[in-house]
Amino acid sequence: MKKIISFVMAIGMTLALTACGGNGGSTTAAAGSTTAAGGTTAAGDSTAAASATDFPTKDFQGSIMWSAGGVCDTVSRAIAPYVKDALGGKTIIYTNRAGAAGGISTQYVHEQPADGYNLLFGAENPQIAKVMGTSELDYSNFIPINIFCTSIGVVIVSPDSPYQTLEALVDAMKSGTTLNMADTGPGGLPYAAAAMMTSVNGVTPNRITYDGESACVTAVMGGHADYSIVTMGSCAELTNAGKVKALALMHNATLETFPDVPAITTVYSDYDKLLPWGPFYGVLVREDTPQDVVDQLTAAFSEAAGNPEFQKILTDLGCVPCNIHGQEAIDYLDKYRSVSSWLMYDAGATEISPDSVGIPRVSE
Amino acid sequence: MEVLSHMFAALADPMLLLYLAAGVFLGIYIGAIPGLSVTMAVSLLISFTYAWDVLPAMAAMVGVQIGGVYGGSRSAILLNIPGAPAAVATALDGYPLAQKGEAGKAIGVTVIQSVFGGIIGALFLAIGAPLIADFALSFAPRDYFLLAVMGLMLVGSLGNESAARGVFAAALGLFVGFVGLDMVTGQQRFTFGNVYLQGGVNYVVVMIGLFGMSEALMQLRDLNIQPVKQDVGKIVPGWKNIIKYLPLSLRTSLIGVFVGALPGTGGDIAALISYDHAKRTVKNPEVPFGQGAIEGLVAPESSNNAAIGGAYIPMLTLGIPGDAVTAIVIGAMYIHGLKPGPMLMVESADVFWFIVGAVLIGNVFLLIFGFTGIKLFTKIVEVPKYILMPTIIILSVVGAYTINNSIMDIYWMIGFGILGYLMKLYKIPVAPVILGVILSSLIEQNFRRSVSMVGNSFPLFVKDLFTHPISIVLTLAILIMLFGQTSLWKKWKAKRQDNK
Amino acid sequence: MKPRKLNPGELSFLVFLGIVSVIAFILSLQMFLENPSLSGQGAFPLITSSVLLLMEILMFLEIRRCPKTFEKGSRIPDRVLAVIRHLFPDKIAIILAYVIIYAILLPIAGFAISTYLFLWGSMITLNRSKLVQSIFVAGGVLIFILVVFQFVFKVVMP
Repeated sequence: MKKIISFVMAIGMTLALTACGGNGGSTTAAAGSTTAAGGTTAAGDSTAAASATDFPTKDFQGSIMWSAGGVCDTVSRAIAPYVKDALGGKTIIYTNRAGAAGGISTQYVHEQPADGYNLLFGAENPQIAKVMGTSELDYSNFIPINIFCTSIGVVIVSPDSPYQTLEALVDAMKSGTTLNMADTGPGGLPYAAAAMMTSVNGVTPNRITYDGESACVTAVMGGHADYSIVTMGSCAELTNAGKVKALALMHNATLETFPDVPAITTVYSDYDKLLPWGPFYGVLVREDTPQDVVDQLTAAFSEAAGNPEFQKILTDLGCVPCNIHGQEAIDYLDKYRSVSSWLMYDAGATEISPDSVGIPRVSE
Repeated sequence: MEVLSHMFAALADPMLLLYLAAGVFLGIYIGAIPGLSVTMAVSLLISFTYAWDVLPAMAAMVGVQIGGVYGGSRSAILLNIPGAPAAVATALDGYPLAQKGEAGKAIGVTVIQSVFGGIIGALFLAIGAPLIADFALSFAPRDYFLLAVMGLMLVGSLGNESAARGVFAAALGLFVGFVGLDMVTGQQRFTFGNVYLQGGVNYVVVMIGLFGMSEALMQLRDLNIQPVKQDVGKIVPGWKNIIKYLPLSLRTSLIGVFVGALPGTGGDIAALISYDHAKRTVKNPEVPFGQGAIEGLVAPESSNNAAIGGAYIPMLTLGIPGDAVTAIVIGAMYIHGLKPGPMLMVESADVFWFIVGAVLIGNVFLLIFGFTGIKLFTKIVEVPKYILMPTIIILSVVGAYTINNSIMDIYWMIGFGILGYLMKLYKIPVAPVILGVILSSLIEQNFRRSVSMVGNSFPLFVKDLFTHPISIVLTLAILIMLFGQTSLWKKWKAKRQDNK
Repeated sequence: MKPRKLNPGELSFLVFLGIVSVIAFILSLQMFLENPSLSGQGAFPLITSSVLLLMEILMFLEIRRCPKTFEKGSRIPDRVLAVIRHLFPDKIAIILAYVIIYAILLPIAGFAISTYLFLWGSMITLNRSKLVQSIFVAGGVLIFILVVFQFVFKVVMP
């Protein structure tokens, strides 16, 4: 007993010193927010410059929209070393907050202070949240810092599937056969892509929901689902190895890495007016974040996103690097929201009209 | 021969050995502290190891995983708080042993069994990976459902006093698992409009509350009971001891490898099924199950470490994660420029075999480090209650918070802690609840998938159970298990005994 | 189940669980009726809550033969007191109160202060003789936790 006490006391004393130095989680936050708030005095430029050079004073909290191991997660974590220096050497502490097709993470980040320290690493799903009813928040409640890359959907079947071409698949469904499609739930890419197919080809599959795209691919490989539509990244390697057969790319051009997979527009030209379209991954902050903070973050991330090493990781994952920021990013998000929301509504995938939630059609 | 040189590349390079060893060592202590999880540690490692080369980063991660899965058993035995879900089954017999003062013996057994299971897992990974992976792929949703039902049947043997109470607790756990946003329809279930509940009740919160906090409260009821002095004399089990349990260890390790190899199920489910298996196949343990049976430690511990090797099977051969941790490791591989998938064995064979070797050698380190710190840990149990209990409560709070940085988790944990306290007080078993929560999603979602696949027709679903080889085997196993528990069978067996 | 003397409050607890089961059943039924399909979101909850109800009934049947906890004719206030004494012997009630205060204090005062107060408060309540020692032990535990969690693992504290 005595030994434990003296041991604890010894530790306590020595560490009390270090604790004083570093235990400033809550106190630094207070300091940080007062300096940021102090930028709106009559002294104008100088104080604004003062708060700009003070940022960042502590580590960042990164909320990742999907679970660990997926494309969104990997992209989000991969950028950290490339952006670290531009962020004053501060670390990004990541937490996965998957659920509600992105709703859980948007909710969380939106509840945090708009101080630029809470980053949302997200995918494309929130842009149809309002029409799908999965959340009341979408990216109009956030400011995009950078859109790292886009990805492309691909229709996959098992190598020994009776449907070896997209037409065979569509024709089977048209003739009344019910096919099982593996998806990731309402709001995910497979769901949205299936809605697109309903809209263009008039076919609707029987949805079997799995825990993510990886599980969808597994289901198709094992013959437990007739087909699925997933992002390139989820199945690229398996397609190369012949474990899975890609019938068509949800895209208006073929990819160098998969020259044998036709673009869906070459099979059904009606898709031309809807494509290019597909998931994207990026980082955002809450609306009302001070402009100088936004500018700093934008500069830091755009440099990182342009790094060739980072972009190689993206292409390995089956994504297309695009590094979009600033007003271009805001326009991109708006367009995506309109296209996708109306797509869902027109295909009958939802009964909530985009008009009723303030989303106009895109003028073609 | 090239294969062997890759596998043992770790041995050739002392730096790699160091990373592996450090990983195992850290993993043990991370897993042992309730509130710190292996998954969390490995995700942190990703950020940590960016700048490193591929091999050291992999070594560190594999090490942490191996150490962590074992480490969870320590707090399960000493404090009745599983450090990881995989250790829930270990607490069932481990904690009673600690209460008898035999924590040292318990920890010794868990080390040996973990290493044994881990090595079996590594061997299967090395030899049969592609075959096993293909087999795992042919598991249909209905097979996962059957497997989860098997796991749930453990409940029948957990209701010490009354089967009805055990089943009730399990059903309660299942129900808790339903709360949240439904994956298929996107609609809210049982959330009463509460935003927090939309994400569902996290099973770690339930586990920490029901096991940890409630245990602390129970212990506080009688402060006069002195903590039991732990016997740290005979920790390392002798050879006879190991040989005695060998048949069981082998069987449960096999279960562990296969369950681990199934994408989406990992060590925790493997441990539960193995514990159940042990209960059914070991008819006359020296000490009854639930009161300190060594078999009750052998089964889950060998199983959950074997599951690690198993989880790497689909991950390394197909790029599909076998469990939550391997999912993170996949992400790490991409960051380091690797492409997990079928081509990994071909294009980066050196990395593939290195990881296999790391799993093998990591278990050797587990053997060494597993025996460290035992005296220190058992001393923890001897700390006076007035210090230990408040500390456990705080650890529970921290553990609940670190999951999602959400204060609501803390409140729910406290709520479950009080519920657990009441349940323990009124003799309603707590373990089935956690079982139900862990298995809820697996059972329900796979049931719905299987039924949906045949157009919502129950007859067709049943037909499926009997027309596919894997399903037939599993269904028969369940029927036998059910039948074996009924009084008809017991009467018949009793008659046979009389006739002998 | 072998008949044994029921603990004070056990019956009430079972009743409480019964009410919870009934609520669960009604909600599940509603959910199922909205979309009566085996793969619908209400199917499994309905099955599970039916099991809950069934088990509740069985549990009540089981305790039928148990000897009564309270003497016949004992007054309600006495019974309630007995239950309370059973639930909160010794200092548990105080510690539970501390836990609740801690939970409320946490978002206001932050982790370090709330935790230290809780630790110190519990320790001295539980063992009055070690007043001074508790100050240091509580501090030690807090620092250990902070170091391990906040520094090493960079986990944010509430």
